[in-house]
Amino acid sequence: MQIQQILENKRYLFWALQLAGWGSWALTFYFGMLVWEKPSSMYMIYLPIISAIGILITLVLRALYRATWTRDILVRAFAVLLGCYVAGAVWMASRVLIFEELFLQPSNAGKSFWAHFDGTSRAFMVMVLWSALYFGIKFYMMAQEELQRRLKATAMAHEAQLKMLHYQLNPHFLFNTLNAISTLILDKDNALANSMVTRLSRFLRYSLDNDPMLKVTVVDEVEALKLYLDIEKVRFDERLRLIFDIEPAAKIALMPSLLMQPLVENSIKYAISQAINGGAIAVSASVSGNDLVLSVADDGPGLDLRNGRLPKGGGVGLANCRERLKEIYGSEQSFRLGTTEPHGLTVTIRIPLETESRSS
Amino acid sequence: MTTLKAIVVDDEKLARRGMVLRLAEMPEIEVIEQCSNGEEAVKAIVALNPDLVFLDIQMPGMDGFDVVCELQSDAMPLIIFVTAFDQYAIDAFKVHAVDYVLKPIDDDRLSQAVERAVKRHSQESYSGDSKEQLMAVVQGRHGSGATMEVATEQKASGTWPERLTIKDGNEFQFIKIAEIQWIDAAGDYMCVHAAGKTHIMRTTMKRLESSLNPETFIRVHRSSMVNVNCIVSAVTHTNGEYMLSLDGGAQLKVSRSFRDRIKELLAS
Repeated sequence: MQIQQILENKRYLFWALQLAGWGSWALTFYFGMLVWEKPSSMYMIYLPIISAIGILITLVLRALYRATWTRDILVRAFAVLLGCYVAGAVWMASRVLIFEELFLQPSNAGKSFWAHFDGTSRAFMVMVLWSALYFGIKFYMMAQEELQRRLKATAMAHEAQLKMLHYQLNPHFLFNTLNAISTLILDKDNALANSMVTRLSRFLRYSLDNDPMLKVTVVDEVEALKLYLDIEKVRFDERLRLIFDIEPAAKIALMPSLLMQPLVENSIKYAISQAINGGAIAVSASVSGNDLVLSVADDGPGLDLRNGRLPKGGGVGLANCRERLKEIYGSEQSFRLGTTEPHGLTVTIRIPLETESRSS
Repeated sequence: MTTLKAIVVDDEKLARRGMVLRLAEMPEIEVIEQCSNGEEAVKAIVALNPDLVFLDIQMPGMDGFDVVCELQSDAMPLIIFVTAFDQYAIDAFKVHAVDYVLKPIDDDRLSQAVERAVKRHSQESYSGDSKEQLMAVVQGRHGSGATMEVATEQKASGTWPERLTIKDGNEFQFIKIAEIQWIDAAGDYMCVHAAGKTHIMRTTMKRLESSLNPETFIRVHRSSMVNVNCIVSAVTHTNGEYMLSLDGGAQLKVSRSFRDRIKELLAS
């Protein structure tokens, strides 16, 4: 857990890597010496000191890289090369000075000034290596962050899309139903008025309470559809005929809530309310292999399906339903428009079969 | 007190019943007919000549606006639209001062609308609702760019064009003149009734008339013209008006001042 926290905090991560990197440099140096002979115990002082100096120098390098971070690539390349060279030179010089201080007699000291810089090219390579690691890790982390951001943005867009595509109560339905109830009251048909209010409340609760991300069982969905259709049946009288065909095996299957609602509303709008003598709506659910098959059929005028596309302007409900399926199931679903014989529209949806126990 | 003869039009039985029950409480209104769809409504309005129509907007087949388009501008009753929820229409009604009531029906609001209708009916210059006002609502609702242009193809001199071109934005529509059954003017709008459809365009009667053969299209009223080839029958009314039936079922009133032309035509 702690390691996780350190890795997540960029400042801690830098220090952890910095210490680990320089520590392993010192160890490598020490073991390299062991190959030749047992090094003097003075190295136990010398190596930590020059590593610490290395740490300080690379902190300056980091400040330089940060300062030139937003500059042109050529400027930055120049800053890296020059920075590494100067850092290497300073580090080498301080190493030589400290080495002389610790290991040599004072009389032997006093070499020429430039002699201190022998080995700068090797130190330069160490600095270049440090810089390469610094930039490599930094770019890797940026890419990771970008990826995280993109994933989050996609998830948010996905959720927003689903919310938008989710069924929204049709105000036309609501007000017409209230008007019908008002007539029933004027007519003193209290029992029917009361049952209409009850059904309307239950349907409202179902459609308002529902989370668009949640799935419901087919039974629940069909119950809600029936509430809605019972209300419409009172409004449309004998003009609306209903057929339900729900296979027992399909009852406990899970499906997105209110998925069929806009399809049924569509049928009411185009098949029932447009036909002077009304019409029928058939809702069915069945299991076929590993799929749940849902269908809503009506005997209205149907759609002109010759080109397999939705008619221009119309079919917002159908298009939304199709989009919603795509958002939820990707390519693991199908949405087909067909013709009810002899006339009418049949919408058939196939989604993967899921049941409550498997999904939890 | 004069009573207004009214027709209630709604596709839902309970909605009609609710309206009729409420109107029964109002002595100034007498409901003479109920219709459950647009086509019935047009027929009933032409046949019964009501003073006032309570017209639902959403109906099977022809909706409330289609009904208005089909009515001859010279014989419009007063219209009170009834709608459950149609934000666009409600805004347009407000802009063009067209009367409406919302469902569920608010009794106070309904009495106000009826009161206003009674007042307008009693005014001397009363002549039903102005179709122009209603067309402005229909135009905006269908979202067409309102300014439609009419252009006719002028063929060789001496012959009359065979089709009308309606330009709506980038879209051109052609109407065969032989298919035009009748035309009526509603202010700046012309309603061209052809092949079962009503095309609304912005032009003047004068301009449209100039591109139509006067042998074929004759005036039957102050602002209506008929294609004589479409007349199926003519009936004389008690008040001296003629009623023309056209193929396709439309019926048109001929005012007394234009009666003679028709008489001649039918005699020949």
